[in-house]
Formats: sequence, C-alpha cells, structure tokens
Amino acid sequence: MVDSSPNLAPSLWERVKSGFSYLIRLRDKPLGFAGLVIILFWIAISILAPYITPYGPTDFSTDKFVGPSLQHPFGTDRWGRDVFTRVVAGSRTAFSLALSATFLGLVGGTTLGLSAAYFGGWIEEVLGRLMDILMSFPALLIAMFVLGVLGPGTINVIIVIGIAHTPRIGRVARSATLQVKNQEFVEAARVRGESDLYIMGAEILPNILDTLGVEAAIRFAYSIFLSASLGFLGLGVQPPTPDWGLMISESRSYLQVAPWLAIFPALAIASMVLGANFLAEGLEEVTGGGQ
Amino acid sequence: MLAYSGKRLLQAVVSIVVASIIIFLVAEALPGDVAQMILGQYATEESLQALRKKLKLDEPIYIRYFDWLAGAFRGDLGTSLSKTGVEVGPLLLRRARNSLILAAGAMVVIIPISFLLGIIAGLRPGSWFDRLISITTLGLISFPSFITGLVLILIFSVQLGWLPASSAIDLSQGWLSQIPKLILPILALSGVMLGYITRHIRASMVKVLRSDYTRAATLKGLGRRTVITKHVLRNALLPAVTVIAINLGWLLGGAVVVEATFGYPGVARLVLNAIQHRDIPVMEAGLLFVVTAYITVNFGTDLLYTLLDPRIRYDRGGS
Repeated sequence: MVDSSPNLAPSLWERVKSGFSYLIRLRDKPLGFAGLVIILFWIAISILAPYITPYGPTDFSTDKFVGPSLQHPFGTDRWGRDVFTRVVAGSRTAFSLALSATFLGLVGGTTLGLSAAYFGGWIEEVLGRLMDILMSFPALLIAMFVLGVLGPGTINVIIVIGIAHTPRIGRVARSATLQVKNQEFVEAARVRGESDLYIMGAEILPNILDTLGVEAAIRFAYSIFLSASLGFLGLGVQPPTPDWGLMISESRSYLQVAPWLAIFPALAIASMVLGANFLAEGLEEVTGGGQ
Repeated sequence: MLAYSGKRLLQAVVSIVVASIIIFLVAEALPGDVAQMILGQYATEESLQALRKKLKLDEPIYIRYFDWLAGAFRGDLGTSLSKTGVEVGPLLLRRARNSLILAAGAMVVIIPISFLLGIIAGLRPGSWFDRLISITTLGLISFPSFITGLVLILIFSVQLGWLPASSAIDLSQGWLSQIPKLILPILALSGVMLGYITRHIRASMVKVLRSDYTRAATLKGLGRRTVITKHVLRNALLPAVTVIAINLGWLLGGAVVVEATFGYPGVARLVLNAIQHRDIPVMEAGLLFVVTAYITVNFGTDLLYTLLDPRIRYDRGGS
C-alpha cells in the first residue's frame, strides 16, 4: 500500500491510481511486461476484428483446404472458410467467454470468501467446507458433468467455468480479508455504527483488490484454457461459431493434408494463456503478493 | 494416530456416499425416458411398461438408489444403453486399467524430472537457470494438453512417421507391441503437470532455504551440502507428496482431453462418451469410479503424510 495514513482507508481514486501504477511498474519486469503486451495485442485484435478480416467468419467458399497464401494468410478449412478470419473472430469468443466466467467467479468467490472471513464462526466453517468439497474435484470433470446435464452452449460454459473458479477465488478472498479485517479503519467504521454490508463493500473490498486483481489474471488464463478444452471436447461453444478449441477439434481429421487448420488456433490459445499467465506473474511481483 | 486415521477414513467414506447420491440424482434428473431410448420411438405402450417394470423404473427413487449401490458393491453395474448388452462392470475395469497405465507412465516421466529441475532452480533463486525454469514451466502450464498432443502428433506421426497418431491400445495383442502407442499420450499428459509440480517444488525449496532452522543449521557450522541434504530437502519435498497425489487423482479422471486427442480407451473418455450418448448406467458407474479413486488417493496421501511428518498428528481438518 502506498497510503501514508495507515488508519484511513484509501479513497477510490487512490485505488485506481495505484492500479495504474502497478501496470506502469511492470516495465521493470520483463516477463510481466511481455504478458501485458500480448494481452493488449489480443484486446486490440478483438476490438478491430471486423475491420481487419477480409471475409466473414462463417462465409463459405469453393476454395477448400487452400494452404496459407496472400489471399488466405492462414489458409482455408473444409468449407472454404478463411482460417485467419476465424482465428481473429475467435478472439472475441475467447474474450467474452473468459471475461464473463472470470467475472462470475470473482463475484461468487469474493462474496463467499469475504463474508466467510468477516463473520467467522459457523458461517466460515460451513462456507469453508463447501469450498473444500467443490475444490476437491478436477474442474474439467465438474464441467463435463454439469454440461452433460445442462447441455453444451455458450451461456452454460460461462456458468460452469464460473462455478469452477468460485472456490479458488473464495479461498484467496478469505485469506486477504483475514489480513485486513482487524485493521484500524475497519474498527473505526464499526465504531461509527456502519452496517456489515457497508464495511465489507466500502472498507474491506477496496483493500483486497490488489490480491483479487492478481487472482483474476490467473483465473482469466485458466478460463481460456478450460473453455478451449471444453470446445475441443465438443461440450463448449457449438459450430459454426468461431471458437479456437472447436477449430482444433475439427482440424484433427485433416492433420495430414491441412496442418494449418490446427497450428494457427493452437498458437492463438497458447499465446493468450501464456500472456495472461506472464501478466499474473508480473502483477504478483509488483503488488508484493505470493510471498 | 489411530484415532486420526479412523476419523479421516470416516470422512472419506461420507464424501464418497454424498458424491454417489449427487451422481445418482443428477443422472436420474436427465431429460429423456430410458425405456423409450432402449426400445426406440416405435415401441408400443405395453412393451414400454414391461421394460420399465423390468428395469424397476416405476419404483421410488431411493429404492432405485439403494439397488444401484448394492449392485455396485456386488460388482454388478448394469448393462450399457448405447452398446447394447455390454456389461458395465467389466467394461469399466478394462478402461480403468488403461487409465492407470497412462497415469503410471506419466508419473514415471514427471516425478524425476520435476524433482531435479525444481530442486536445482530452488537452490539458486534468481539465477539464469531459475529464470529459464520459471519461463519454461509457465509455458508448460499454459498449453492445454490437446495442443501439446497435436504438436507431438504433427512432429512424430505426420512428419517423422515414428509413432502412431492413434492410441487405441489393445492389450490382448501383447504388452510390448502396445508401447509405441503409449509414448505420445504419456508425454502430452505429462506437460501441464510437470510445470505445476516443478514450480511447486521450487517454491517450497526457496521457502525452506529462507527459514530460521536452515539459518540455524548453517550458523551451527554445518557445511552447505549437509544443510541441504539433511535439513532443506527433507522439509521442502514433503509437501510435494500431497501435490503429486492430488495430480494422480486428477490423472485418473481428468485425462479426458488427452484420451480424446489420441483416441485412448481410458475411463475419462468412457464417461465423456456416456454423457454425450445419455448412457446413464455407464455414466453413473464411470463417475462413481473416478470420484472414489480421487477420494481414496487423497485419503492415502493424508495417511502417508502423517506417517512422514511427525509434526502433523490427530486433528488436522479436511484434505
């Protein structure tokens, strides 16, 4: 914390400023900076997607299985769709899935973890047990099971990944809250007679945002990882939506004749997950977490 | 020790029972009439009724649950709906054995490499080797295993033609002839976990090296070699036992992506196919197996940990 008066909670503006200062301090961390650049690159790509792609992501043509060329930089698939266009458009699918799922997990996990640590006692016991049980199974297995019941689809994938994130974020939020909840500004708010909800939302939450930010980056990376895996298994986003995992799954029958169908989406997934993991590592260093 | 083991055993059994209830309830709640699915859409109402009676679908749900559980204990898990007439029990056993082979193979790759790299990197935090390991392992955990798998297939099957791309193993043809089919899935499966475990061991080493008792041992005048082998390694490697065990549990049910990539006949792909085909008996049995294996491995690890680490005894909550 950069705050000079430790018994006052820093204002929201100071929070935003310190958030930006972390990003600026990433300059000195090669790994974290590389991660930031990769993620910014993908953000730019997904915003500009309709302007930089020469075709529509689901446009068919008669040029099937054309290798990479000037006209089709990443080649075309079995329907003659432009792979470059689909990889670029896939970044929007990836971002919207991963951001929504991460957000869902943050809301759920922070609510559970923060209130568990704040109230303590039997509430902490029950919530802690619940998170332990949820966390003791492989995320992919829970996802398979739930998607088997709900059926595949974009919304269901977001829900499933959000549920898988919740206990992990909950644990982090809980331990961060435990470190903050006995500090003077929380005490002061209590003496002022503020409600529990106000103290949790306005006093504690802003002070665990650092930790939650690092955790969000890690969960974002894992969301991309999971949604790609679910797409690959056919349980995620359904065709013809441009989705990287799905594209790789469809490419498998043509590895001999058209390896570019697998290579470019694979590079996209790998670079985005790697970027987010690098960024998380860098943020952890500059915020002084993880020690 | 005995009291702790007993308590922990009870906890494991309760977890398995709760999991079995959830699996059964959710599977039963799946839309679709089982009798209709077996007989097809042209079945007459009488034959549907007769089949429902035979499958006991008209009984209350708790009776069916206990029937199912009792059957599971006898080894009778019913017959598959999608592969007509195939008994679920032997099918599950075959698949479980295949999954175990894959998991064991991955462990043989992962454990020595991750220990070696993790220890060397952890001994000199911040050195070029440590940084190299840090970047490499971050890379490993960033690549989903189907990507690693496809890269391996592209190189070793498509380009070089050394190893088969499909790993539909058949042990009846003899063990030795199946080994080439195992190599690529084992490597693909090892990637992510190799990254995680190496990072874990490295972090654990760094923490122990900075601890007071390591300082004390050094100040006592012991040589670096003695301090590291006698004090640091012991304390740093103990937590790795838990991480490896959790990953072993994960390997038994979470290997679905690798199994799908290589067409490997393991238990996770059995569950995946059963979910996709609404094959409820197979799905229930497969999930129950995975959950039981997972909880059993965790239970075994906790006991092993208590044996190895005299500091932890009796009242340690949870897993």
